[in-house]
This record gives sequence, structure tokens and C-alpha cells, in this order.
Amino acid sequence: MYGEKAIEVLKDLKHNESVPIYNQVGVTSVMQEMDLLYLTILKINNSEELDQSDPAIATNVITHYSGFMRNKRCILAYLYERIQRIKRLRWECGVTLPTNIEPNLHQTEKGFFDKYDKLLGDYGAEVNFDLTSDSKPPKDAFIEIRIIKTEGEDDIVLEDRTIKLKKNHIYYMNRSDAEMLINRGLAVQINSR
Amino acid sequence: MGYLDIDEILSEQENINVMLNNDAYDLATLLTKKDAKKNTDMNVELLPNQDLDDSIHSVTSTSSDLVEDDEDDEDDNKKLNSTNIQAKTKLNMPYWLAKELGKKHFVVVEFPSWMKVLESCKADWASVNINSITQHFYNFGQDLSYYIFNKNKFSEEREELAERLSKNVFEAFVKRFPLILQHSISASTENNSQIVRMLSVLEERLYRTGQTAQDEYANWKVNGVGLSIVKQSILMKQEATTQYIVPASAQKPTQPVDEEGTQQQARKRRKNNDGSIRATAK
Repeated sequence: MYGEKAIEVLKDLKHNESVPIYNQVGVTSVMQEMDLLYLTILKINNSEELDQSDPAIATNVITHYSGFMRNKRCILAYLYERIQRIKRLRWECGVTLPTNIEPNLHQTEKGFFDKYDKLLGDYGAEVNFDLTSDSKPPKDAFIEIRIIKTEGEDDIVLEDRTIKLKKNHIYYMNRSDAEMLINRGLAVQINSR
Repeated sequence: MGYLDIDEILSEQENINVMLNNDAYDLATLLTKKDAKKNTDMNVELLPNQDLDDSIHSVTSTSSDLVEDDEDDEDDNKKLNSTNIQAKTKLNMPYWLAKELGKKHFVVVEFPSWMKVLESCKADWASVNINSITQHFYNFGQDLSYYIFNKNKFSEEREELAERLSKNVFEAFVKRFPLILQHSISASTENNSQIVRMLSVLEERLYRTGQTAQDEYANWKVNGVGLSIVKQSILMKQEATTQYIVPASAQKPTQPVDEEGTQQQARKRRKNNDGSIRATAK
């Protein structure tokens, strides 16, 4: 039956919460099925022996056509859902993609991520405010962090001073500076008290 | 969201019985079950030398002798005669296909067999395992009843049945909602996997939403607003200001990973330069 391969592609996506690996094989086989369906319809339309007004022929054409549109719908839904999840990643994880998800993206999806990132960055620069930094309203202006690794550079430039960070030490500092360090993977937030 | 909604797409995949109103040209290999074994896959990949016409021809000519010849067919297509399906045959096909064919009145979409089961379910909706009927019960049931009512009537009796199906689906949802609500609230403390297995796709989504809402609420009660938290944040601000006042050159890093140590140091810093302890809010 037409459309079964497309449904398999969609089901894989549904069972996985975040972005699974791009199903190149699945998508190409669905496209091949669509080509075949198109050629079948073309053949019937161009054939001179068949009576085009006969409902039997019409049933045939409609069946193939519905299969074609069904495949199209499934593939579009697949691509759309992946795009939505990638957008969510940008808001949750920041500018760099998590390393376990990055190889799962198709080339064009990576391009999408970069362009979306640029869009947000440009907007943030114009408005002078980064929307994605605090997803929940911060309760406190200061935050406790522990440094888990140093990058080799000794002096980290913070808002009003440059300091030297040492591994495994706890620092109490500005929320924005701390977020910057956390995003770079150098520190972890301590949820105490 | 409807066109691209994955759950809706999956709900239209349900199989449904239809009855053909007229003949169907060349669809026996696709739609009739007994051909399944002989059916060469329509999705065959073309070999480099193979012409597309050849592959289609080879598929259609391996049809079975199941269907009778259609008398109206021309003599040219005698080879393909046996692949036609006669009128009034009953077929089983996915709902999306049945919908399209039904719009043009080529088929009569029949009600699913579980319609009769619904009457017995009325006694106690809460205990029904809807997954055994179909996972997409609500979507499918509502869509089918509207579709038959609007586009595929064919008789007054069917109109009535469609209305009844719609009412049953609605009633099922209303009666089962308290069950979902109750179980989603207790999700953190009880093991509800038995109940979750009985829920349809829509209900499971509701259940998960309820569960996350409940968890966030519990989290908020512990970590969120509260007098003790406000006091602590005042304390932390005081510590912060004292820390910042120390010039950059003289600043020493705090002790590593020592909760008590940091608290002790905080207490130390609260002492004024002349040794007296600064008053703090308690």
C-alpha cells in the first residue's frame, strides 16, 4: 500500500524526543515511490485507449494521486517537526549545538540553525537585549558556580574585571557572567540553600 | 497545525472497510488481500536497463485469477482485464484513501466493527481499554462521523449512525476525563503504567501535561516563593556586596567544594573590621 514507508519515517520521529539522525534512506525511498506514482498517473492520462470519463479509470487515478499527496504530506510533516525541534534547541542550548545531536542533522538543517542563530543575534543586538539568556525569571542577581575546567587562558574577562579562575573552586558572581561561563562549559551552577 | 500534525496523520492511517460503487481499473494487486503474496512491490527500484513501462507491466500482469473479467473492457487491454476490481466488492484500505475515494462517491465508507462495542462500553467508560479499539480513538471517531455525515451519507440510517458515533466519542471523553485528571495528579507517587496503557493518544498527551504541571507545582512549593527564601536572598546579597568590595588584586578564591566552609567564611565576613559582628536579618 502506498504511504507505508512514509509512515515508518514519521513513526521513528515520533518515538524519539529530540532530533534523531536524518533518515536519508527513508526519505529517498518515499520520493522514489512518489516518482513512480506520478509516472503511473501520467501514463494513464496520456493513453488513448482508456476512456477518461469512466469512473473505473477515475478510481484508479484518484488512488494513485491520493497516495502521492499522502507521501508529500508525510515528508513535509517530518521536515517541519525536525525544524521545530532544532529551533527549540537554539533556545535551550544556546549558540553551539550539543555534540550528541550535531551529527544527526542534515547539511541544510545545519544551515537553518546557523541562519536562525544569526537572526536571533541580530535582533538581540538591535534591541540590546538577549532574549535567550534567561528562560525563567531570575530570583537573584548573583549565582554560585563551580569551575569544572579551565580553558588554558588564565584571565577570564567578566563585566567589570578580569579574574583568574581555578578548577573546583566556588565563585559567587554576577548572573550574566556566570551564564557565559556555564554556556562555555567551564562551570556548573550550584543549586544550594 | 492539522496538515502537518503527526498525530493526525497517524490517525488517518487506520484501516477501514469500504464498498465499491463502481469498478476499479487495475487496482486488484494493490487493494485485494489475496494478491498480497504474489504482489511484486510497487515500490520496486528500477534496474539500470529497465524501462518504467516494463516494470509497471510486469507488476500488473502477475495478478491473480481472483477477480472476474470486466465486460466493458476493450480488447486491447485483455492482459490487464483480470486486475480490475468489480463493483460491489468490499475492500479494506487506509482511511486517508477511503476519504478521497468517498468524496467522489466511488465508495461507501463503512462504519468500523468496533461501533457495536461502544454500546456495551457505555456502562463504564472509565475502565475501557481504548487502546484495544484504536489508539487514535477520538481523532478517528470524530473525523469519521463528520465525514460520513457530510460527504458520504447515502442513506438516512447512516446519518443517524454517524450522529450516534459522534455522541459516543464525545461522551467517552467526558466520562474518562476525571480519571485522567485524578491519575495524572498522583503520577509522582503511584505507578500508573497500567492506566496509561489504556489511554488513547489524545488522553496520554493530557496525562503527561497534567503530570508535568503537578511536578512543577511541587517544585514551586519547595524552591519557589516563601519567606525563608526571601530572607536567604537578602543574606546572599549582603555576602555578595562584601565580596565585591574587596579589590580585585587582593581577592582570594573561596575554598573548594565545601558547603560548610563557605558558610563559615560568610559568617567571618560579616564581622566588621574592628571585630564586631554586623547585624543580619534572621
